[in-house]
Amino acid sequence: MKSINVILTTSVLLLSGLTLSGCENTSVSGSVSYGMGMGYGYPMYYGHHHHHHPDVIVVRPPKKDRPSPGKPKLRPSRPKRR
Amino acid sequence: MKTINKYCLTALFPLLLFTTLFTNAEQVQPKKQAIEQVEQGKLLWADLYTSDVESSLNFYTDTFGWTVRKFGKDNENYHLLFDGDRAIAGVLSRSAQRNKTEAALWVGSIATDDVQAKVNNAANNKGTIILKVHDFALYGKRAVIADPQGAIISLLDLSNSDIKQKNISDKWDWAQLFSTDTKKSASFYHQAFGYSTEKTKANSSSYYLSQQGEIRASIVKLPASFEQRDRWINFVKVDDLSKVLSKAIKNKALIVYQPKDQKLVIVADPSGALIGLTEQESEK
Repeated sequence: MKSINVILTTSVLLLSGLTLSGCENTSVSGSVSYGMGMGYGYPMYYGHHHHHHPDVIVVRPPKKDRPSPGKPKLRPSRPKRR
Repeated sequence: MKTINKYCLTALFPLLLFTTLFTNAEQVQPKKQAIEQVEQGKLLWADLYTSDVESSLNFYTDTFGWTVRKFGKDNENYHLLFDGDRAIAGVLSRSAQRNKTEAALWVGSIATDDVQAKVNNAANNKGTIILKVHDFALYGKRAVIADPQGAIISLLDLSNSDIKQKNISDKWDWAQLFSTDTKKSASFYHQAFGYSTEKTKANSSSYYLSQQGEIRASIVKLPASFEQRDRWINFVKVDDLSKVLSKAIKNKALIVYQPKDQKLVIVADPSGALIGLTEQESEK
């Protein structure tokens, strides 16, 4: 009887622990292994002294026009008639 | 003793049921979300490499209303910027000496389903691996490469990530590569990353990059007045462009490009990092 009791109590405690730990907010916490060394000395030089550039262009279609013109239009397939 | 036994048995069954249900739910949900939400080849995330983290954080929090959270104890130098309750960007320190300039740099991450394969493709097409595939612990696998003309871009694989993905902002809207040789660039991004390329207009040197049948980015000629090295500019959506732009100027940003007929602008932040702003389009 005693051993059954011990097993039951241990199971309840273990499951409670697991359940509670599963509810942990993981959005930003936890240990991480993110490589912070950015490149092995790769030059990221881009110069500075930015000023207004009238000769820049930006090609950006509105969101609704972004499906590619080359994309084939999908039609629902019709069942074959025999 | 019998009473304890009764209570234990009563508690054990609901706990077993609860644990089983949640274990199964966790296994099913991530895959579903990854399939629904990840748009392959789209700009998804960006990291700011700066020699002055504090002033960069001050600029972006005050101008955009973003908030800052530290990434974790093991990486105290990495800061996450949040737009509301969703993470939008990372900020990390890179010394001016190492950068060979005091100018900061935004590096955009595009969504992919296999970082290692894309990195291999990039290397086979004369790209340089700056940061090999590593765990970007919050969101999945990541790698940073430079294309053959020096433009730096990051690849991010979210396919194995779970519900955390919901916490990433969808405000990164567009990416444009300014290139010294647009044809070469288009060929590289097609070969290495699998984009379809098409000219924006006949006889134009500009290209669209598409994946999954949708235009994701563009390539245009780098103006002669710029430092002649290719670069990506990442565009973030804001609710009120003129309001954010006024704040940016007040916080010492410089306008690099502001067309009259489009609701977008490119600015250089006070640390010299270029970022594009677009106004959120209405759903109609």
